Amino acid sequence: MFNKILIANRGEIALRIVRACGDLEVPSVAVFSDVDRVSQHVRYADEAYHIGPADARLSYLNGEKIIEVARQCGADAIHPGYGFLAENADFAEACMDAGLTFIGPSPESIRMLGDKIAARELAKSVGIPVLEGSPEVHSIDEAMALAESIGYPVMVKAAAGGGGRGIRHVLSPEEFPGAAARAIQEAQAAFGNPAIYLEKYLHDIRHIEVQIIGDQFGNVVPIGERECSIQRRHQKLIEECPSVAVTPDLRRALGRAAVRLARAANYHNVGTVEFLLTESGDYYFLEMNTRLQVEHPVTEMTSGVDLVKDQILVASGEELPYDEVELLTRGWAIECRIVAEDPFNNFLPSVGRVVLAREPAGPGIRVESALYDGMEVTPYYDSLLAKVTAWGRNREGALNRMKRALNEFRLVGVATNIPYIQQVLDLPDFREGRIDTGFLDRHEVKPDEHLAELREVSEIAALLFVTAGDGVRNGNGSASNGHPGAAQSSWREQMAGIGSRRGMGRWPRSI
Amino acid sequence: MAEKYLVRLEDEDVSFEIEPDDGGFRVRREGSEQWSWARLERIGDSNLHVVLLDHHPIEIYLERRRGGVYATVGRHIFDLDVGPWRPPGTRTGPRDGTQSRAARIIAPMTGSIVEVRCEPGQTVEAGEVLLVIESMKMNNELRSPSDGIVASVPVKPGQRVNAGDLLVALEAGEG
Repeated sequence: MFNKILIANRGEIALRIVRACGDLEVPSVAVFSDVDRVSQHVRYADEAYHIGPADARLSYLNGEKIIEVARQCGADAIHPGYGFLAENADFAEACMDAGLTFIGPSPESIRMLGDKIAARELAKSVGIPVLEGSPEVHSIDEAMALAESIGYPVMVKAAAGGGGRGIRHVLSPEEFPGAAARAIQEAQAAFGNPAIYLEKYLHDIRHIEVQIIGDQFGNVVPIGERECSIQRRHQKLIEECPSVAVTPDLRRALGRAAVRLARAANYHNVGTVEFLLTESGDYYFLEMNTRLQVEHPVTEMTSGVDLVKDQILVASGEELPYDEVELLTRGWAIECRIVAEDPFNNFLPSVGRVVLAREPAGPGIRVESALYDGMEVTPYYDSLLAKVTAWGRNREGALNRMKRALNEFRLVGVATNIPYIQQVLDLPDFREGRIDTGFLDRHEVKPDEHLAELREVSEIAALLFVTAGDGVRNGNGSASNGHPGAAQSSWREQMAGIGSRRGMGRWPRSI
Repeated sequence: MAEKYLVRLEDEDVSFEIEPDDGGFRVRREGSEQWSWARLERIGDSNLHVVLLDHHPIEIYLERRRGGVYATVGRHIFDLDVGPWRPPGTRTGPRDGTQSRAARIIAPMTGSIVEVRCEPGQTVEAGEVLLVIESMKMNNELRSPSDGIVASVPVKPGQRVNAGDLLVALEAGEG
């Protein structure tokens, strides 16, 4: 096992890795930028080092600096989390050259699978169906000719892509030049590589992915699928394990395919093979993500496996502690990504201070976040605030717990997508599991129905707050005067009947 | 005898009657026949409060400011003035009610301009994308709030902007 692990990330995933280190009793080292000085991942780690300004290019993406810190503090391994340097083959190689273990697959595997076109070819070579597509293209004219031959609609994707960036769905030749230009621009901005490729676009498809883990002895084990069809602008919003659409036979087939691809890429550590699944049960390889996935908790909740701990174990040279037949999944898990975006204002990011954060808890609920009272949501990093995962014996049980948990979540100071997720969870098609990647496009945000009630509540609260606090009233009914005890003792619960003018359930319970 | 207060929110005055009652208060909103019973409790030393309104507990975050309160409940932040009741004639009415015929598109967050899709003199429709701004690694489309003519676009692609900066000024179109 390692002597010390440096975590080259921030936010909830850095905290998740700090916790895995704690479970393994390996000291953890956090790194932080100017704006993360008091972040939770810093406070919970055993050591912490400043690595630069808020701009990620000069801090969390500064591989040289991170390797230097690792060497100076005596760390012998680096965990990249997801995003930032996680799929950067050059960084993985630089770690090796510096005598550090990169907790992830080999640079060769990352390079091979990170090239989306090479990965498609590799998948094809081991008998995994792929969608009709194009090689890498650099000009719009060339791309347009290929789009004609594939046939509309097509997807335009960044060759160096991932994370849903640089993807355009094009319905007709008229739209093509503009959409392709934007995809090229986004690919250049996000990955420093403007190359794009095309893929046939399918309707009514699900996004299903298979978690795998491999050790350095050639053992590769699939750990079930995740249903990730609920996406907005190609960003996953709700993930489940298992999927209602995956039969035991299909699960076996997808698992086998994922393992074949991993073996062909000489893969070790955790990875995710993404597939598109049609209504008729045909599946196509999409891409392989060579890292820990944001939505890994749903797999952990149903399998009991600790993916972060196990990826550290296999990186340190240990053999996988289980094989496929030993893994039993139990029940159903659903994860919702809570992001600082305002669903009632075109999902614009909401920056500012989280003045109050109270996370849900209770049976079957797991929250991954790095939230704390006073946390600043800055424009520098992604907008993920928390991941709420609910486990239940079956899908309905998990869903009901999720709804309860989101009702409990208190976040003051920034707008979040919680009200939108609550709407989605209530949609009959979602409850029935009739979902596909176009689901959210067909279900627009409904206007906020509670505004008038909330307005009235706030008026009354403000009235009580000000009148009691100014000493206008004697305050025997209000704790705002600083005597909560007195207020408590005068409490008598005999007011039933008065003023229940609109009946129970009128006041929304969420804050 | 109930006392009367005015609560002002977004230029709208609402009068309330309030009197102590059974450890809390009876409250009646202007125009309502019925009284509600309410009590406010502070949670520890934080600004978090719970208002028990007709026996329904609702958590609300209250921050005092001069002459009033910022109240956060759900995703909403309400900026409320609270003062003694005055007869309607003496109240400050709503600010100039005539709608300005110009619209300003303001940067909703700090970020950088990715794309400008409009130019001065151009006629635009409500909902049309005028600019794309990147923040938190996401491209966000900013749409025109109304039909109009672009008066000015004081930003360029690649430029960093702060929340509140003017991005596009619009004039109302013909008719």
